[in-house]
Amino acid sequence: MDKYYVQMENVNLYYPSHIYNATTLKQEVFSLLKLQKKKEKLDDVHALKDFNLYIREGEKVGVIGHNGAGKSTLLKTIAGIYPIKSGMLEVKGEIRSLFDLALGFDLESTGRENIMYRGLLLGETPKRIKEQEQKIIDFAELGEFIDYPIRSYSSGMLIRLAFAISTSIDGEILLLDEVIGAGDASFAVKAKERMMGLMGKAKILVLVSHDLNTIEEVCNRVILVKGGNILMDGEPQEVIDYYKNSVR
Amino acid sequence: MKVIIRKIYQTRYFWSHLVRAELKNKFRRSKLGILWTFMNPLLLTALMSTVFGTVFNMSFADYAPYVLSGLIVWELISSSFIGGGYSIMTGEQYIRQFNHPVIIYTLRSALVFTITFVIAMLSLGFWMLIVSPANVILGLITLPLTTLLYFCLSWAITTIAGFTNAKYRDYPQVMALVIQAVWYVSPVFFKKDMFTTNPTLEALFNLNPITHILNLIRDPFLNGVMPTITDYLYTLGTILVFSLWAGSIYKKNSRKVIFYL
Repeated sequence: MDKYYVQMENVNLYYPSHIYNATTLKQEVFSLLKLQKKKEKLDDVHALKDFNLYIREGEKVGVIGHNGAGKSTLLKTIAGIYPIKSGMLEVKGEIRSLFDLALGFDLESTGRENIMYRGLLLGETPKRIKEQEQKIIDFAELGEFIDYPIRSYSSGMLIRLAFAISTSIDGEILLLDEVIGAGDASFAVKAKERMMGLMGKAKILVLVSHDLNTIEEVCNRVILVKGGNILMDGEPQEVIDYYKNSVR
Repeated sequence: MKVIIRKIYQTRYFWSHLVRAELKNKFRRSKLGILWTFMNPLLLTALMSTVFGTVFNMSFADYAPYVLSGLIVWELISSSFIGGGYSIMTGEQYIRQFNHPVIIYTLRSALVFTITFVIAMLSLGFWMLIVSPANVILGLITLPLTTLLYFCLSWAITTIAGFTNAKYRDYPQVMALVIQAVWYVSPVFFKKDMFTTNPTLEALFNLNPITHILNLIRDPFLNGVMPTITDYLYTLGTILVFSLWAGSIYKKNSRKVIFYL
């Protein structure tokens, strides 16, 4: 048995339809009293269909496919954020997920406070964040602005800070959703370098991206997802070529 | 159960930080900061006691601490029911990215409400120190247990409220109405003798758990006596009912709740 792995067997995931029909307590009471007709029911969305996947240590998996194919859903399922309806999901190793960098900032707090905030959110201890703080500030090139409320930051500064924090803590299983570059040209180079380092250190990487060049560069296995299922699984070159041809 | 407790412990730095940040924000927003939490019930009490005291013809000195204690506890209860509704929704961004147990967001709200309660209690403490210092000793002896019980109650309520509000977005409006109705049958401002004119009202008064929950503060601080066993039992019973309810809601919805956000 591998020390780190992700295993999915016949995993089914549905987005229940009732989430699209926003209900209120008033509606619920009225429909109970038969005063209001129940809204037309939409079907549940079957987002992952009997999904089978095994990722072993050392694999850097790129996930490609059209919009709505289930790429991000797959990532969030592995991260344990979405509940699966049936099947088996087992993950061995500490998960580190980078989905949306700018999410979860507190605009009223200073940059320094937000470093602590996000660091704790990512599962660090206050002591370890304090040790990393200066490195993060330097990397984000924020200088004195670090003590200003981040409400006053430009969007570029915000992204740099978010990127610096999120990439300063590494994990065993790294899940990435379209977050490779950030900021202006000069920062983008630095960011990419850092990202490569982070991805290199991870025991397992799952990368969702539309940037096929990056996928080819980073990954040693690529899966093509379509309609909540794996259409193709194999060598990066082979799968990417197939995908490119199918688009054409 | 064990797993949840372990996960709550593992994320302790995170949620305790959320609590601190929320308190800090709360106090940063108003210039007077922490003083406001302290002053607000006092000013309200001055207003209410003057109005109600005149209407019901009661002496200010007797009635004011009654109103103050009522206000402080009522604030905890009503904010748990109404403010607690937002507990999970404000954690949305975190819930979308991390699979921390959702209950830590309702825990955060309950802690914020309880800490606010303790700060507000200082105003009652000071008041009684001037009026009848002997009561304060008994008050301080009973306060830790009372605070713990209030916290448990608040956590259970915020959990129920948080999940309900995630699903039904009109929950706060509906709940505000319900809470207003409960207020009229609770001795927050009204004194016991106002209920005794009508036997139905009196029975309601005695059965209302809020009466007993309030007694945990009023008996020691205002009357200088220990709260009765009945008061403790009623409070514990209420906590048990709400906890079981919260537990079943949590079990059913903790994984699903992300779909409602």
